[in-house]
Amino acid sequence: MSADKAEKIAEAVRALAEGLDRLEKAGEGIPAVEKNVVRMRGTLRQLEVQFELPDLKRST
Amino acid sequence: MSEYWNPVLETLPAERMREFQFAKFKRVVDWVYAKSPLYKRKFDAAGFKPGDLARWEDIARVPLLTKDDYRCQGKDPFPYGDTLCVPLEDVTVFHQTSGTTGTPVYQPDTWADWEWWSECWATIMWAQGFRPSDRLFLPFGYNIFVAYWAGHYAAEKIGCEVVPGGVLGTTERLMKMKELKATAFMATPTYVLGMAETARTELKIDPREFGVKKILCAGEPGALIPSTKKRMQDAWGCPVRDHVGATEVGAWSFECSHNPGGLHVIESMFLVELLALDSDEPVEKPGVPGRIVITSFDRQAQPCVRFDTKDVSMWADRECSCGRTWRILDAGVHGRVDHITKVKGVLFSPVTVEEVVRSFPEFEGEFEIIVEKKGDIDRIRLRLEMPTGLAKESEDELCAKLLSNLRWKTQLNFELERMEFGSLPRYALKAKRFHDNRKGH
Repeated sequence: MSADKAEKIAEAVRALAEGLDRLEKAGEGIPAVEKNVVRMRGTLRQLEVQFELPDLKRST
Repeated sequence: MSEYWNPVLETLPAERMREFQFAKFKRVVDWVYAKSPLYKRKFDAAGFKPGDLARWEDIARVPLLTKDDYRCQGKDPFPYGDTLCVPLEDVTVFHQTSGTTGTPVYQPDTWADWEWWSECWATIMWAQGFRPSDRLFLPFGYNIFVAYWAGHYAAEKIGCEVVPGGVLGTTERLMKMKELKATAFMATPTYVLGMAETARTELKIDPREFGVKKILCAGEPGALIPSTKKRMQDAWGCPVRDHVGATEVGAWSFECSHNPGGLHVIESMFLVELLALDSDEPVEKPGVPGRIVITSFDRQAQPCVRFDTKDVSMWADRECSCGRTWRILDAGVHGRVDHITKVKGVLFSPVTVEEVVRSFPEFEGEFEIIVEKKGDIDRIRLRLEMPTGLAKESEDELCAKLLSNLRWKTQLNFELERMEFGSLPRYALKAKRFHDNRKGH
C-alpha cells in the first residue's frame, strides 16, 4: 500500500476525530450523545494508533 | 479485499517499524510515568526518567515489570491501586489472570482498551483466514478470565457469525456445533483434543464429520508442538493454528495461514524483546533461547511496559511466505522459565514430554509429570492414561517404546505410572500437568 493512501487514511481519521469533538460539544450533557461518542472514540482510536502516532493525551 | 488486516503496518520495512515502535514506546513510557504511581516509583528508584530515552538502546534502561509489582493492587483506587492510569470511572470492564503462577492480577480496561483487544484479535484472526462467511462457535465458559472474550468481539468486528457456547457441557456444545454446522471454533489444545474424544466416545461421531474448517488455539503451547498439532488436525481434519496472549499484555502473536513454524509478533502494537535466561542481556541472535519481555503500546488503563512474562522462546532466522515483515518467534513459546528446571542435574522442559506423548497416537488420554525427591535423589514420574482395549503385551511394548523415546529426548529415566483411561483431570482452560514437588520448587 502506498504512503499516499496511508496519509489519506490518516487525514480522514483526523477529520472524523474533529467531527466527534463537534458532536460531543453539541450534545454536552445528553447521555445518548456523550456515551455513544465514548464508544465511537474507542473505535476511532484503533485507527489513530495504526495510522498516526499515538496521542495518549486525548485518550479518555 | 486485502489478505492483511492492516497492509500498511504488516508489511512495513523493518527499519521503519523500529522507528514506529520507538516513537510508540516513548509515548507509553511518558504515559505510565505521568499516570501510574507504581511506574513512577519504579522508574525513580532506578534513576530513570522518560526523557532519558534518546535512542533504541536506551530501552534496556527502563526497569522490568514483574507479576510481583502487581501486589500493590487491592488498594486505592480499589481494586487496582497504583497500577491504574485513568480515572476509575473510565474503566468499563474488569478481568483477571487465571492465577496459574500465583495471585491473580486484576486488569482494568476502558472502552477504547476493549476495542484495542478486538483489534489485536482481529489482526490475528484475519491472518488465520477468518472471514464473514465463518460461523464461529465459542466453547468457552464466559467469566472473569479474558481468554476468548476478546476473540468473540474480534469475530463480530470481522463480521463472523458468533455462537457463544457458554455454560453448555462438552456434549451439548458439540451437538450445537453439529446442528448449526459451525465452520470454526476456538479452544485450548487440551480442550480441542477433549472435544474430539467426547465426540467419539459419547456421541459416536468422528469429529471430521462436523465439517469444521479451522481452529484457533490459545492458552497453552500445544498448537505449536508438532505432535500435538498433528493430533488435533488429524482429529478434526482441518488446520489448527496458535495464538499467544496474556491478560496483562494483550493478544500479541499468532501463527498465520502460511504456517510460519512459529509466531509472528504484532510489532505495530507490541514491543517484544528477548532477554537471556539468567541475566537481563538482550538476545538478538536467532536460535538462542530467551525470556519474553513485552510492552503493549496502545493500552490506556493499565498498560504493561517491559513486562517479564517468564515465557521462553527464540528468534527465527527466516521470513514468512505470507509477506509480513513482522518477526517470528521460532516454534512459539517453549515453556516458562520457572518450568524449565534441572532434574538429576539435567535441564528439563515439560513441553518435551508433551511432544513425545502426543507423538504416540495410541495415547489419547491425559498425562501428568511429577518431579519429587526420594531421599536426596530427584525422581521424575509420568502418570499416563493407558489406551482402552489393548492387550497387556501390546501395552507393555508401547510403554517401553514411550519410555525409550522420553529417555532419548530428555536424557532422563522416567518412572511410568499407568492410569486408567479417563482417571486424570480434564481441563477446559489451562491444563496443569507439571508438578514439581521438591522443596523450594
